[in-house]
Amino acid sequence: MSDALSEPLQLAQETRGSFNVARISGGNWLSGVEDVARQLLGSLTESAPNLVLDLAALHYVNTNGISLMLACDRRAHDLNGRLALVNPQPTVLRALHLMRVDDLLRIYASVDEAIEKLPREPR
Amino acid sequence: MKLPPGFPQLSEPELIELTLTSDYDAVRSCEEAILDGIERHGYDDDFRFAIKLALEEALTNAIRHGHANDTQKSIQVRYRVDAQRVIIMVRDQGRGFDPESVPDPTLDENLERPCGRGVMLMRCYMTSIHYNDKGNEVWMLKDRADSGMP
Repeated sequence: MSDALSEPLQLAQETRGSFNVARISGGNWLSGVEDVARQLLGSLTESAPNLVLDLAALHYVNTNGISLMLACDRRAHDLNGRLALVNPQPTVLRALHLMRVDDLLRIYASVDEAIEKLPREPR
Repeated sequence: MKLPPGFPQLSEPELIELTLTSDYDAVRSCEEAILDGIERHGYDDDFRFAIKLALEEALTNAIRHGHANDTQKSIQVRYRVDAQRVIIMVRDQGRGFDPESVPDPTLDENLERPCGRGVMLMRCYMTSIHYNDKGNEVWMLKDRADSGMP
């Protein structure tokens, strides 16, 4: 895990119906964040306003990462969509919990579960 | 050198001093040096996560808020990593701030505001943090006995 904390951020994206599914990996939130933000925010459109962000391979998060997640949530809401987080590692989940991000965003165990349940969740 | 209350009193040679340019490349170099020390002393990954997070938040606050992203300014860092604890000081050249005036980012009305998260995470992950009166210098201490995660 040690080296993974500082690995460059990487993003892999696909579209499943109205859902953008993005898998983010790495842990270096000091550089490359603007590119990741541009890709994530740019993926949200009126026809695909939902974002499922798979955090399974994200080894570290700081306030830059937390701010980006909340920015994605605001953008999705503006388009009548939602943001869901999937499978964060315990260390990352702990940081999100301390900032009460888990009160604002839904967290699921898998991408499939997020796609199935998110549309039924109250806003 | 007098360290804040609750911190072990160390002589100046016991602390490593770095002067950083106020940019993120310098942050990464500083971070690598401190995290290498942590690895050498056998601290676990949770401890490493905690130090990385607190250090990044302190240095990011110095760059963004202390220096308003002015790369001509510099940041002074002093640190010590030993078998019992990690001590880090970060000082910027800004006007300082009152850490008590930072809004609590976990209150309902502040959850979506960007203010205060860094300071709160530093407090959560460190055993102790202390700002000077001006608010441009923060000392952070994490004891080995204090498990990595809050």
